[in-house]
Amino acid sequence: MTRSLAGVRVETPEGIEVELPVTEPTLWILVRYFG
Amino acid sequence: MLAQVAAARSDIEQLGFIVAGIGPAAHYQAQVLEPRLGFPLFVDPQRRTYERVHIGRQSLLRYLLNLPAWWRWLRAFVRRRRQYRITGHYSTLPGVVVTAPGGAVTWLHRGTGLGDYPPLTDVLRRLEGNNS
Repeated sequence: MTRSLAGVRVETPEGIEVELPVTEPTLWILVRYFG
Repeated sequence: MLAQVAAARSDIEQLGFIVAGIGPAAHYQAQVLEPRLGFPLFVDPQRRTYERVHIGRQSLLRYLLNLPAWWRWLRAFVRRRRQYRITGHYSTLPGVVVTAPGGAVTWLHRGTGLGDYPPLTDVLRRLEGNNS
């Protein structure tokens, strides 16, 4: 099954809910915490 | 890992990729870090991104007994790069995801504990491979 990040809803640092932008090739770093 | 990727951002962009970071908590830390890193950060308190790519959680026992993770923590401590106030939850695991236009996942690294990211050189090789 092909996985996709399209349609995943997250929040900006300001707390605004958005969909992950997936229009361009992207390297995503998923962290346990920022820092 | 975020700092390493920020330092290599121009190399990554030359390969045709943009960079973004996702964390499970701490909007305030993301606000402070985003301009320093120079790429967008997102906060995912519901862990939807992690679940979409099946980056699981670790149990308390696995967290406590994960010796490679503690070794990475000790190395960071010695180098004075230790995280001080940990936000989020110990059970969250890290990961690296590469997506194509439209969001399809073309490569995925699921971390098994604290600081378990692939070497940046491996990530860059993967990006080069995605272009060929």
